[in-house]
Amino acid sequence: MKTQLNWRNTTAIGLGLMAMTFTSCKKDSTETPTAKKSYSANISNIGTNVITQTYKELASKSAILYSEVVKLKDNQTASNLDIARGAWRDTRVPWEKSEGFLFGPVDTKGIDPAIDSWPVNKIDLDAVLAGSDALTESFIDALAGELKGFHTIEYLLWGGTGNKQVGDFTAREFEYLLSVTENLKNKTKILADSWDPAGENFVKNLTEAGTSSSIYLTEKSALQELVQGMIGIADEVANGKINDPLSQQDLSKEESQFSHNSKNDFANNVRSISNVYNGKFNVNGLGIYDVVKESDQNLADRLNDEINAAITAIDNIPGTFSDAVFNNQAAVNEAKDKITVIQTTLESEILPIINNL
Amino acid sequence: MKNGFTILSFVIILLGHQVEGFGQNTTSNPNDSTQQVQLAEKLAKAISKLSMKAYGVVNYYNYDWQTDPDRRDAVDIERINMYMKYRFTDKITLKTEFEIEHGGTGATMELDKFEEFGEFETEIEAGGAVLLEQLNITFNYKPWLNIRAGRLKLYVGVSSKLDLPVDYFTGYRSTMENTILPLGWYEVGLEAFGDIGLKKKWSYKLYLVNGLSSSGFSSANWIKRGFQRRFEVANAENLAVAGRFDYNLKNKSWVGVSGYFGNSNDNRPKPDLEGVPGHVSIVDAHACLNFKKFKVRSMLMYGHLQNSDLISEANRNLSNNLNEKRTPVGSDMLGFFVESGYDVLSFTKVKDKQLFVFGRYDFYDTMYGVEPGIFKNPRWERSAVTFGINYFPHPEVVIKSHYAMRTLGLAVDNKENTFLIGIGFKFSTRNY
Repeated sequence: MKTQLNWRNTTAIGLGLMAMTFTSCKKDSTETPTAKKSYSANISNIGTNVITQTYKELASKSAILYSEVVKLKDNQTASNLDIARGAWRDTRVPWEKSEGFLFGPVDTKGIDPAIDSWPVNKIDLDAVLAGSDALTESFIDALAGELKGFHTIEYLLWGGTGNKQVGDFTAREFEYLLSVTENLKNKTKILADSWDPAGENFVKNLTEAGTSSSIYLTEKSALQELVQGMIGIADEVANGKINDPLSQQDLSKEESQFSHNSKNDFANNVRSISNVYNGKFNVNGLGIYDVVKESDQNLADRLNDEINAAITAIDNIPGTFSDAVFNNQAAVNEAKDKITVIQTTLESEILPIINNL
Repeated sequence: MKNGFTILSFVIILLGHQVEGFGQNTTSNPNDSTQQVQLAEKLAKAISKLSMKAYGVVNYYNYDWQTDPDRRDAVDIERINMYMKYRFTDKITLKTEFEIEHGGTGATMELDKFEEFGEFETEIEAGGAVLLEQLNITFNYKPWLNIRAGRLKLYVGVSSKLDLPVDYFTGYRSTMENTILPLGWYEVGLEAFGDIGLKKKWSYKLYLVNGLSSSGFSSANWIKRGFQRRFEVANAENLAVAGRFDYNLKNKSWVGVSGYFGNSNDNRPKPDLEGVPGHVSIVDAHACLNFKKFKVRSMLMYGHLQNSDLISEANRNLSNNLNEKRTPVGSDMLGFFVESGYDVLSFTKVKDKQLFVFGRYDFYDTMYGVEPGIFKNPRWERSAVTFGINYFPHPEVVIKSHYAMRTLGLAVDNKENTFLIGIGFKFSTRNY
């Protein structure tokens, strides 16, 4: 068949070409990637107002603990012993609230094992006390992690059975206590300074995530680090700190066993999750919650409910954790289960949202 | 080997005849069978250049340790080592050694559809390791001078030479050496070795190899964990020299000395001790004496680490991710052992089997000396008395059992008692 080009055909072809051009232009315009939403404000707030401030508080509480121990050594009274014990508990609060973000200098500088190894190696500690080395801060610093840090201080302040009297201290124990507390003060100061913008400024890696940060090349990778940190502590509290002494019916597995501070430790660990999630410490700001709610408001709120339920369940464990491990196992299991719910939500619902950003 | 060659030739010739008969159904030509024999000889010659040997150990451990009451009894497919050698010429030989420790290892990725989000999971299927321990080429020049190059074994101490389960009495290799030295100790470099002197009574080995990394040094194991095998490549900023001289006696007995010297600080993962020397010096004197039914082995080893205080300080600040021990390191190490065993079946009429009854004493202290300001932890001063039996139903198969009583230098809770029963074997194609 012979086809002739006349004005009608030419017009039709012309219109068709225009339509195709228009259509393809339209298609192109829909495929142009829109700029991704930035979560820089959320990450910066968590880095600056949660993590850095938590470490600053840890350093200042550690300095107070050291000064209280100095007073106790100089004036060995029961009330000064109580004050020093109270200062130890106060220092535990920011530390446990920091365990939801055990990355960065606390990890790369080996500070976590240097200040929070447990259980205390009592046999080796006795060997050091029985020796004749001068128990200076630098000597303590050179010891293995199980012979220094929070739990060695706790052991010296409370004794193995938790009811040590001020008259029970030997001169060597005071000498050790003073240096190990000074060491904690120094280590926590190094940690705080390493995050501080006026110091080594590690926080810059978070505030500049996705731009000039050499560690977090994208904002997503910084958010993933934060969520992984939250998952890590939920796992550690539920399946380690609570489950080990419970399932093995063995109090030697209990952290903070001498001071009976375990329940506070657990609750503050859960609060560390809350603080990162909600972007709050002393002030409120943007957190992971604000990222999640854009995808799923119900889920975002549900995790907060689960966090509150876990803290309540920990608080509801009657008496001390040491006692409850044997005598109130249902309550201990309830607390463990509530923390496991947090871990599951973080792993199976929150992290996939972050991964898909 | 001659028997093996004959059998192999016969099988190949037979196989050739069968194939020919089946395929062509013709009478064989005498010239063909000559060619077949020549072919068979060629093949057999090629195969004769290959040789293989292997040894392995499987043990059961029953622990009664005051220092670790929770320690679980265990079974361990400790290792199987397989050697493949190829003789290019009479002067040039390739040697490989593969070791599968604790049953090997494997990782797979799988899609778990039954998880809520169909997650991809990385599964570690088994613990252990598969290692290429040796890969080297030996150039045989003269009996008194041979050169080996590649990844090779360092023959420091006694266990490196008495490495096979049929060689040592205890169920596992010398606890003293295994605590302090990497066993086996393999590095990349050059080795010169040979036999010298009147009747070639003296044997020597000299090494130039890559050094250790001080980031792995620890209270419990001194330099052992400084053996670099955690990363894909080993740092070779620092090299080391090592050597061994043995005087050979009758019945495969020997007495001698060995030593190692090399820096270790520049091989750390990060340059955090640049400009600070961390030389490791080790020297030992050893003896292995075999009489007819009686065997005695002994060794005294001493080591020194330079700047152990600065190394301890740097190690304290290592990242958690490196998973190092980070414990203070001793400046001096001391180790000693003596063991002897007697084949009690020699008193009976049983001549094709052996039953050695043995006893052993070890002393080792990885913090024998410390720099000022470092706690000399008595925990790491250890002594062990071990006794047991080795039953050989065949010269290459051994069934072992021992009871080891280790005492730590602590005032209380210092006993570590271990009962072991296990099997070991070795074989070599060169034996046929």
